[in-house]
Amino acid sequence: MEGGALLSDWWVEFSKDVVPYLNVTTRLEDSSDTHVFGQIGGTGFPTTVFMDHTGAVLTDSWMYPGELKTLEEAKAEALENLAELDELRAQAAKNPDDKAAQGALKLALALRHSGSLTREEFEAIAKLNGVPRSLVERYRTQLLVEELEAAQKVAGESATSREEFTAAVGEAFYAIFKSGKRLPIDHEMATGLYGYAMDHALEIGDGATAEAAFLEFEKAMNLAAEENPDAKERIDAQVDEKRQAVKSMVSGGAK
Amino acid sequence: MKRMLSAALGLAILTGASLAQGSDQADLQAKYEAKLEKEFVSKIAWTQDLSEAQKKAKESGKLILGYFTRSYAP
Repeated sequence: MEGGALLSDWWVEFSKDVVPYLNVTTRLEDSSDTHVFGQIGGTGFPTTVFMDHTGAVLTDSWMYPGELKTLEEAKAEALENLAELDELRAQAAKNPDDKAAQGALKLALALRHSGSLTREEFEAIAKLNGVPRSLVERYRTQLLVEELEAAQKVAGESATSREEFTAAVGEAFYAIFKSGKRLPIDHEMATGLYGYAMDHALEIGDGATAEAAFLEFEKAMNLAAEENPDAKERIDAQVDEKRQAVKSMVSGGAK
Repeated sequence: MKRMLSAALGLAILTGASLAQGSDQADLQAKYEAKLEKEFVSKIAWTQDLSEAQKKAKESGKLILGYFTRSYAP
């Protein structure tokens, strides 16, 4: 895995413009830096991420540095995110008694895996006037993603077959969808949330929820088709199949 | 007597477990050392301590590029 790109000349040159930090998770009992992987929100190996000097994570996407272009794009994204974070830091420093400025910074740092925020603290910050709505929505999405991942983990630990896993995830995602929680359609987990919720709703005969989940599923899949023209035909066929299933249930007079 | 025997057995099992754990740790240590021997590690000037990386980033004004990998499995 660590051949190719990490031995290339462009990688060596690129490394001179950053501070390269190597973290090896060893599972050794006295390993000091193992916790950092969890702290940055890492979910798989290998992971490459840009951080600022406080350890705030500046890139949303996790990747193997396979090519220079990807790395340069990620660096540009990191610098944009750093500028936004620095602006919030400046506002908070300038206005120490401004709850919105302090709250916005706290929210931004929590989003960047630097500092923690309880659910109650988040809800209080979300209600403040002057806290950018985009920050609030991004944090809400992050909480939802954590909830979805936790549901998948629980399903993975208890299921003894692929079918059991699918059923458990479907039930959990259906409950989450029914509670009114939504992911932006461009989120990588959107088709999963809406697809599983819709399938479970179809299975238990809940036509109204199946229809609502299908509408979100369709939007997310259409976006995926736009971004992956080669897969458009297959995606369209999948959407058509689900549309027919939902239509047939709704017209059949399901609850 | 039975209770003493059970305790002795328990100790034996625990000792066995500790030995197995020690062996696991030695294996993990060997894998870690093998990882650090890989060419990609010596290819550039990595910092392996996050606080040190943060200090260097602050002084230089550069971003930290963290690369997270593992040694316990391929």
